[in-house]
Amino acid sequence: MLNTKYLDQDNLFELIIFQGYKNLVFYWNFAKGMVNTKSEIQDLLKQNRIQNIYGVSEGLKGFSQAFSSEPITNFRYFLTNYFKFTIYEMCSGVKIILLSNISDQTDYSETLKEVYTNYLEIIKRNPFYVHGEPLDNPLFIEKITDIFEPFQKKK
Amino acid sequence: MKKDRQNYYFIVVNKTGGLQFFSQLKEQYREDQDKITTNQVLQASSIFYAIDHLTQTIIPDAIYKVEQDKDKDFERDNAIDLLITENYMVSTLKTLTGLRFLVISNKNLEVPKKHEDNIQKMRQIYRLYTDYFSKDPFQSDDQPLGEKKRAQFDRDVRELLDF
Repeated sequence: MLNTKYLDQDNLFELIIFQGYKNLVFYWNFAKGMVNTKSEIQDLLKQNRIQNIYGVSEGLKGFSQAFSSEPITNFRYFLTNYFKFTIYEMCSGVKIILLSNISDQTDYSETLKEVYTNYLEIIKRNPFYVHGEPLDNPLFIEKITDIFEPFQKKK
Repeated sequence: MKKDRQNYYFIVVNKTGGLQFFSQLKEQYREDQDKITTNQVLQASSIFYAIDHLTQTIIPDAIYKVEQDKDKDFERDNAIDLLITENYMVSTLKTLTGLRFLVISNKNLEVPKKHEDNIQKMRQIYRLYTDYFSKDPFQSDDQPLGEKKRAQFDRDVRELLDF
């Protein structure tokens, strides 16, 4: 499964957080930067790509549940020829999705769990946060950058 | 001593998304629930076909830069290779004609090795598939097999996948 063609590329491509039905609250393109203001997020949502990412996660959830012997919330990750799609979903409807390089063998499920615990403590338990708003809390952003710092390839 | 079977299901999805062949390799996988029905597998395979197609559109930008110099239509080559859930894994092989073979197996063994194993076995099954489906002039392309041939193909598949 190790594809040497992509070894020169970055390890991580994108981090996306959805809340509820197709509601994008956080987008981080590791090469370009974060998007967490309302106007930029609305621009992003107009592109089909983000809607398709949501659709892929919901569709494969239905597929995974058909063959499972126990009730599960969602699959963990899938690999295609070109990228790896890791997801951490909770029953409350929060989906945390990471698109990464296939030549990277690390399992990102645990780091996405860490992102979720930070999300819980900083965002959800904050009495001033309104559900559905973009995540622009500077402490959250700092924690996220610290979490993904060791995985990003330094050129 | 009965060997613990590692492979649970084997599915063939044709190039238009319909279910062409389905075999349940391990009987009591779903213990408390009813046995999986053909309808559920039909729905699941058409979902898989649609979503597999949809993954062509979510390829990250960085990959586009690597593949941009080539003339080939690399979006079309994109297909789901391996899917991992908490209890099981799904290995898929997509052929050039758009046919998809899926093997659903246990996740306890080392995942990359088992995945490679599954892909090799699916390549062998593909050769069998051509014997039963493509080389038969009376078998139309996307339709499932008749009763007798289906039992034979089932036996051959079980021989390859049950170890």
